[in-house]
Amino acid sequence: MMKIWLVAAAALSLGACQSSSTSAPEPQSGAVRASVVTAPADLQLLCATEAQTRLGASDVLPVSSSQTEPGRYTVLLSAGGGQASCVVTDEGVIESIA
Amino acid sequence: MRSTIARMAALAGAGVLALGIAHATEVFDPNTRTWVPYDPGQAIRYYKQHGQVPSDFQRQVVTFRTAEKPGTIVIDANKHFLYLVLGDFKAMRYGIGVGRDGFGWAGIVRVGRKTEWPTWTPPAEMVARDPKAAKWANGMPGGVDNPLGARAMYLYEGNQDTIYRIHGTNEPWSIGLDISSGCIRMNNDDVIDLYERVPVGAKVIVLMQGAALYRGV
Repeated sequence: MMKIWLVAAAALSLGACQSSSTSAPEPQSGAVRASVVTAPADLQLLCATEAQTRLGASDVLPVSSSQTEPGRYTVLLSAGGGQASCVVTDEGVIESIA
Repeated sequence: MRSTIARMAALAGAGVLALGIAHATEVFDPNTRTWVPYDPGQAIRYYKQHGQVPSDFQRQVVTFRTAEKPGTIVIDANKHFLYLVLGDFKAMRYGIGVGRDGFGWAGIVRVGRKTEWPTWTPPAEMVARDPKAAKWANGMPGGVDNPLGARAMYLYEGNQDTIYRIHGTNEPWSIGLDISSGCIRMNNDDVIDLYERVPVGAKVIVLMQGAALYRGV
C-alpha cells in the first residue's frame, strides 16, 4: 500500500518538476511563510506512518523537523516510548528511518 | 493516546526538541518585494486594508500526501494551517491562530463533542490575570462577541477533555498568529465549514515544535 502511494507521490512530483522553471517565481501578494523552515505536515506524517510499519511502534508522532538541504528534511519522531529519526524528500521518498 | 503527549513532554524535557525556536509568520509585501513580520499590528493593518486575511490563510483545497483516513484533522501549528484530509491526496486547508509562547502543545487527540455558538467560561488562571475575562467568570453566552465564535469542537484525549478546542473567533484578523491560550482558532466561516464536515470522534493530530509546553490536565 505504501509503495503504491510512494509511486503516486513520485508521479505527482515529477509532474510538478516538468512544469517548473529554473528560477523560483516571485511570491504572490498574500503569500505567507513561517520564519523557520520545517517539513511539510504531510511529509512528517508520512514518516510517522512508515515508522509504525518498520519499527512496529504505535502512537508515532512527529515532534520536530528541519530542512537539512533543499528538498530534504529530517523528522524526529516520538515512537513507542523511544524516538526515531526519519529523512524524507520533497518527493515523498523516505530515505532512512533509524 | 494519553501516553503520547506525556512521552512528548518527556522527550522535550530531555532536550531532544529544539525548544525556543520562533516560528513567527511572515507575509510577502509586493510593494517592497520583501517578506515582513506578520505580528498582531501588521495583521490588524492587513485586515483593515484588505477586509480579509492573506490569501494563503483562506480556505482552499491543496495537495496533501498522507495515509491518514479522510476526515482526519492535521494541525501544523508552526505554519498556522489546519488540514482536513479529503482523500485522493487532497485536503481542505484553513488558516488558524495557535497558542502563544508558553501555550503551545502537540499530540494525538479526537473531537470529543461539538457545540454551536458555545458559551465561553474563562479558566481560573485567566480570570486571575485578565479583568476582561473576570467579568465572565460564570460564563459568557454565545454570540458574535464571544471569543469562541460560531462553533467549538472540544478536543479529548481518550475520554478526558484536554481543555483545548478548535473554535471560531471574534478577532478575525488574528489568523496566522501565535495568540491563543492553546486553543486552535479559526475564522467563523471556516469553523462552520469544518464543523459541518467533521463528526464527533474524528482524529486530530497536532504538530508543533516545542511541544514540551503542553500542560495537560
